[in-house]
Amino acid sequence: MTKELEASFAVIRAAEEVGATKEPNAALHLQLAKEQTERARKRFADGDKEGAQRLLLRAEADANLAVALARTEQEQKDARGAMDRVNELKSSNK
Amino acid sequence: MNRGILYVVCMVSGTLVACTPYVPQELADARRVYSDAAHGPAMANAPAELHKAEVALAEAEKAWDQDPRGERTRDLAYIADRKARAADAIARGAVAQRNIENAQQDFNRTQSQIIGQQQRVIGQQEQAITQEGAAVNEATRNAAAAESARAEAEQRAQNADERAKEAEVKLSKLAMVSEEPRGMVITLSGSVLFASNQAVLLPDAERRLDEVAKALLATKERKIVVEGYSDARGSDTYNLDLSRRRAEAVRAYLVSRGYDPDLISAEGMGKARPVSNNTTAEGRANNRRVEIVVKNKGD
Repeated sequence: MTKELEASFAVIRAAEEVGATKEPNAALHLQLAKEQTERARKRFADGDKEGAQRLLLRAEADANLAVALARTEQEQKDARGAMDRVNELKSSNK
Repeated sequence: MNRGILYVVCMVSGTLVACTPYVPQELADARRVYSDAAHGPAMANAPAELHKAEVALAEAEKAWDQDPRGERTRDLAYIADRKARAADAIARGAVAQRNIENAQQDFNRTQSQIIGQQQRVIGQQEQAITQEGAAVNEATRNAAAAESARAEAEQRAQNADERAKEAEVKLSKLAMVSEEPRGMVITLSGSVLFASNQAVLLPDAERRLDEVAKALLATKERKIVVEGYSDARGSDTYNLDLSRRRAEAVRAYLVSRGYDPDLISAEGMGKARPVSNNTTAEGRANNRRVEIVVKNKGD
């Protein structure tokens, strides 16, 4: 259980590091991941080891989704910026 | 209950709608999200992530098959849903990444084109400056050449004037020279040039005319009129003819010494314009003469 819990925390930290808290959709999944991790801990404490493990897998899936969403959002922003720069360059040369 | 058995039971009872198996919301969502991802950019841009979602969904389906209402089924469907969403997000990220690369290439290409255009414009401007400089140099050279030509012409004119003055000085030693409105007039005595009633130059006259010719050749660009004059004795016809022939003889001699025949003409004037009284022998001798008129410059 400790191992799964650590894995879940690791992905949650990764999501925070890539800026998931700043992007609404990613922040939502990050929050879900945290809540499910907490619920898993309680379940484990209640003796439901299997249920706790599945909750940790859900939490990890949400955290991974938060990472992907945060990264994608940043890449899309960068792409828009790059295209804006091209358009600006082209229009300045007209 | 196994889904196959469920279908058989429903078919026998004839209530297919009522027997439609229960599908948890999580599984319904997972199926839809996976289907969307599989038909979206994930197939091409995140195939590995999509495959993980597919495996996760298959596991959820298997769980549903065994226990449609079970918590495990819902959890596995939930996980499949998240994996499908992640696959879609990763694919969109890959597309965005490619757009960044394309935009960067487009930026570099456009920048190169702009630099190229600017270099061409600069090149054209430099060429124009070079051409302008060449034109200025040429104009300067032309101006210098024109100035040189003008100075040369001025020098030539000055030289010609000097030669003319020198000629005039020389001629003044050989004959009587006077400046008149019609030009410089060199008067040679008829008795020095010709025997009486003859129009053939005497040997001594030729020597004297040689000197005159040398002096005149210094001003050979001027027009010359050789005028023959007689005294008043004899008929006008005879005097005109004799004076004309004498003028012709002098002209021919000057031409033979190099004077341009187009610039020199001869006229017989007869007894016209006497310079002395025809009643005395001395006066008549003075009237028998040849005048070489060197026309003024430009006449």
